[in-house]
Amino acid sequence: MTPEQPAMLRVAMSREGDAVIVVWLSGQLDLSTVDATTPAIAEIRRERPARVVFDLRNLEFMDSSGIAMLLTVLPLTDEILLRRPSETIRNVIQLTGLEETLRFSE
Amino acid sequence: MPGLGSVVVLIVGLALTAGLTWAAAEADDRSTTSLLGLEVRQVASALTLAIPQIQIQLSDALAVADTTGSPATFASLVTKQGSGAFVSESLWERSGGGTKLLVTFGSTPLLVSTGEDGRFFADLKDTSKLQVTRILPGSPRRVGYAVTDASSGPFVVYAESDLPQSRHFRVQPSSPFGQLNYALYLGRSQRPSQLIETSIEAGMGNPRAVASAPLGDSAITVVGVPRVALTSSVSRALPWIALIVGLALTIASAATIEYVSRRRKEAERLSSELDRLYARQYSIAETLQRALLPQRLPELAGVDVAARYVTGTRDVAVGGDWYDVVPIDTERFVFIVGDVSGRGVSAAAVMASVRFASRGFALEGHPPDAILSHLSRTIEIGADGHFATVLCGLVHVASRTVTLASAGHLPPILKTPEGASAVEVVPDPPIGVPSGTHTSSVVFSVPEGSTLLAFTDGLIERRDIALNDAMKRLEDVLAADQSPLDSLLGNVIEELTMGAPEDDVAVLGIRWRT
Repeated sequence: MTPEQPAMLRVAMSREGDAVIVVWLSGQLDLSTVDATTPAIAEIRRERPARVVFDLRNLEFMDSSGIAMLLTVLPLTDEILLRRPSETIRNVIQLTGLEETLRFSE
Repeated sequence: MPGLGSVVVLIVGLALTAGLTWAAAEADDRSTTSLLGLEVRQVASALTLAIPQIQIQLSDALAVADTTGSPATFASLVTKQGSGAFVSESLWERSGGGTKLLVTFGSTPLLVSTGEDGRFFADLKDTSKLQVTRILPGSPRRVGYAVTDASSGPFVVYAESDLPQSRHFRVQPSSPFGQLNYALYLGRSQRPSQLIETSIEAGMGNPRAVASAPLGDSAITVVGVPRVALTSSVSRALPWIALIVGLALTIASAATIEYVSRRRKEAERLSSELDRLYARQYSIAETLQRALLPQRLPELAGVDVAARYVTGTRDVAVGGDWYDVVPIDTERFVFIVGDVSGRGVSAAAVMASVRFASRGFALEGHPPDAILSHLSRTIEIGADGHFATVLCGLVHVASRTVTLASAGHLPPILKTPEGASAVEVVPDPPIGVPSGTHTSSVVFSVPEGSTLLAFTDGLIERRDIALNDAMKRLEDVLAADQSPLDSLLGNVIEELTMGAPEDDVAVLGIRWRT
């Protein structure tokens, strides 16, 4: 096993129109970093936007903690889109049987 | 017990204090010695201030005698000068046979009374210097001075003056040399017979300084001891100051170091206590985990089953992975491997409820997709905060067929005599996801001697390796390993995680006997 580098996750938020919140995730999303998303989720819980877009173009890695986080958002909005996920992350979502639930977009 | 550090500081501090105290005392001693020497030399020179006067007075008288050749003129000069410091003044004439007394003023010279005149005049040198006798015994004692000048005449002028009655005197504190007790000797030695007077008493003596000043062809020797302290009060107090300050600093430093080192020991103790508690918490988590897992897998006809559970290193909190084997009848059994998201006691609680619910649904005889469908109504991520991926398989042993359904779980790997590859199963969403439906399943048959390996993502999920690559690697490891089932599971875990997975790992293996 390679020496463990501490995982890093950056979380940013933006809005597209009135009803869409975009959460930008970059770095690595796992058990040790998932708490960084808590403020963003609190904001979504307050606003209840029609759609939440997770922009994943700069996310290198996501494990089941990340999926759990995405699923937490599910009851808070009508639609979740995963924008530009990497092949690896796409794979994780597919293997978890969540392609229909968490849709990909470009 | 004091620590080594504070003892060392104490010893070094005491040594430094002793050194500084000694140095300060030594410095004070040196300046006392030096000041004493100075004072004593000043006493000596002050005492000989009168000598030139004596010399001039006697030389004048000699010059008159030599010039006129007449004792009468000498007599008139001495009368004119007055006797001054002298109690006896006399004129002598040297001739071949000896030296002859011509005339005396004042009392008879003690030199004559003691009978020393012959030798004194015989030893007289041809020098213009004042020539001095030794102390002449008498009451009072006297000292005699002679001048002569062979080049200008045969005459010798000789004078005597009294010495103090008592050899002992007391120094007046207000006098110029009031800081000293001193002894005066005639000559350069300190012979008791040549002691003029002294204020030094027995027991006085250290430090002492000696100085001589010329007195004609002889000298006056002064021996001085300090009567009062010669150095400043600061100089004298300095050793004490060094001692007290040094001791105070040493004790304070040693105490501080002792305190700090005790604090550090305490911190080390607390840290090791913390390590112990951490280990204990870790073992509690592991115990709880194992308590929630099957204690023993059932014995099944025609297949071997084995399972392994390894606790992850990343977190002490209990994880949510599990496995289960539920016999349905003599021919069939259900196996389940699952993973509740998140960690901690709440994840373990959700895991326990899902596990026991799944056993119930399996025992009711439901097929795998229905078991998952029922399970999906038992938890909901919005309410429970957890979801679960579950792999559920129904095995018909005799026909070697497996019906498999997945709720978002990684597919199992089938190892046949030809190789190993993942079973293709369409995953439905995980348990606990609101919109999820569970309708997919796959049926496949396995060759004799095959092994089916189901596992949780801790086995292959690593940040530095893509999931697909990790799956490939697992397939390769499985294909290459021909060990018995139980060792195979151990080898796979060791190979894929180096024996120390970050996350918890559950692995279940089923091998059809040949």
